[in-house]
Amino acid sequence: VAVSPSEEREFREFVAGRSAGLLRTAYMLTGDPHLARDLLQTALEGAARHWSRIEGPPEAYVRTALYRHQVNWWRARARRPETVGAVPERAAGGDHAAATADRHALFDALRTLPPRQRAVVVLRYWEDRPEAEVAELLGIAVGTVRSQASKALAKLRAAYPTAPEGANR
Amino acid sequence: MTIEDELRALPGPPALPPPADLADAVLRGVRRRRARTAVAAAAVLVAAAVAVPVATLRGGGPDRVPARPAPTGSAPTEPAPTGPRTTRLTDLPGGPVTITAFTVDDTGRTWVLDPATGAYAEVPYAAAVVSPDGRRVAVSDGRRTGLADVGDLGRVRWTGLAGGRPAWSPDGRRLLVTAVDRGSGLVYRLQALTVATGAVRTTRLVNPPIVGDPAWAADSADFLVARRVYDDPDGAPLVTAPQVVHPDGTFGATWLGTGGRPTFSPSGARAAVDPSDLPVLRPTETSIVDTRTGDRLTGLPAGATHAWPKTAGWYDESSVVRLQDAPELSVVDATTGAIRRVVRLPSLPPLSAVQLGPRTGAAPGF
Repeated sequence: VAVSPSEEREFREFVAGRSAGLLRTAYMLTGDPHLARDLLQTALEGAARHWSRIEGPPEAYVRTALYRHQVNWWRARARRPETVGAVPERAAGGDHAAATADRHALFDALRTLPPRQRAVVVLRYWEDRPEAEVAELLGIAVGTVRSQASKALAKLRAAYPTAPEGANR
Repeated sequence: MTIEDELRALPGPPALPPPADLADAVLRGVRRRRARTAVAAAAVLVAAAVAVPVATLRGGGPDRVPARPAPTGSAPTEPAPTGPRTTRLTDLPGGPVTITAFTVDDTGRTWVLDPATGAYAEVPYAAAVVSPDGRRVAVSDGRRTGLADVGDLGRVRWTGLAGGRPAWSPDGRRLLVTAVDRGSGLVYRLQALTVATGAVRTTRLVNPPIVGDPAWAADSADFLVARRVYDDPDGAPLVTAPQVVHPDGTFGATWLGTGGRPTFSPSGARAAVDPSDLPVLRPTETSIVDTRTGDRLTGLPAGATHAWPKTAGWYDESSVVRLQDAPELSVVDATTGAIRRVVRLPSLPPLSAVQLGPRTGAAPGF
């Protein structure tokens, strides 16, 4: 599929304007900055190849590609055990530094989830998308979104117990 | 604060700037891929010109040839078709089954056998599916579906049907082209073309709970779809199983506990069902199914070099042919899973698919 000069300009403008947000999502999905860049570049290459045929907002196209590539990468790796890092101890204390450390701890806990569960959690909670939209983006059933989210939250709760209501975090 | 709230409040990576040359890198990657495609095609042309009897796709393939400098200026275009490029396979040791077509993984292009000459010609379309008798090929460029004789690929008769990848009925008389329309939900139109008469019968499915393109059933009358079924207790997000769809659009039996797309034994009594393209119950097994009852008879584990099984077709009534990396074909006992034969194809680059048929004429066999 050819990319005309005008389409190339359009594509470059899109990358310049949207790649920071897309890279953040890729990082949340992969938990690794290098994998995130690889994932985003792969998704953008697909978009570049099909640029003239993308209907609707290209960002939605690229985001969908990010999620689906991530799931496919998981499938390709599924026969090999994934290295799961240990969840770090949570920081104690109630000041700002401790809160920041807590967020790092939650992020580290998120990284320990299997990629498919991480994708569901990122879409459903971090991006705050409705279950039906998550299901459509990942190409899975709404019930599957619920079950995957439920399992993921159970793991996160075990690794990262939340503070009681009203407690200063 | 619940864990859900914590996740919503999670700020994400604070400092992760995208590379400054990201757009350049992406476009370079696209161009490099096209340049490799052109180099591979050129290597095949050279090989054909010097009449080397061994296929040279591997030696001149995209993973073995130094990359050409990426084109400068505006983005490159697809090379203009200059007539079919041809090559021959001399790797096959002889036997009753032949490779009627193979698809090169890196380029996505399919090469189709002309049994009259024993040569393979590259098809300049996105999809090419050879008929069960090996004499015709159905092609699709993404907008149109056409038919051509395998010995005359330059003369395509366009059918007027648009849709996805075409599928031949097992009896070779009809072609299935599925179109998906968007509007108030998804409407699948299963267009069954009777090749001899040009008659088209359309089956409509509105918002069907299916994945991927429908296929033919063994009787060449019903269809099989990959139906979304249920969640796997181990956490796989989706399970599919083939389900019969009758021409009137009603659903029939479901082959539970299998996978996605089936290939049928010569008699049609058994089917090998690979996992679909989405996570399934047994992602690394090919299920062997009794097509009469829908019962799953056994499972064949994935081969040594493919994480995901790729069944190319049936070798005979009791064994299937599986595509492995390298590339090579293995003939696997459909009951025990034992590997009966391995046929290596050292002159070919990695393949994404092969199509099989009975050996006729000057075709090479295995």
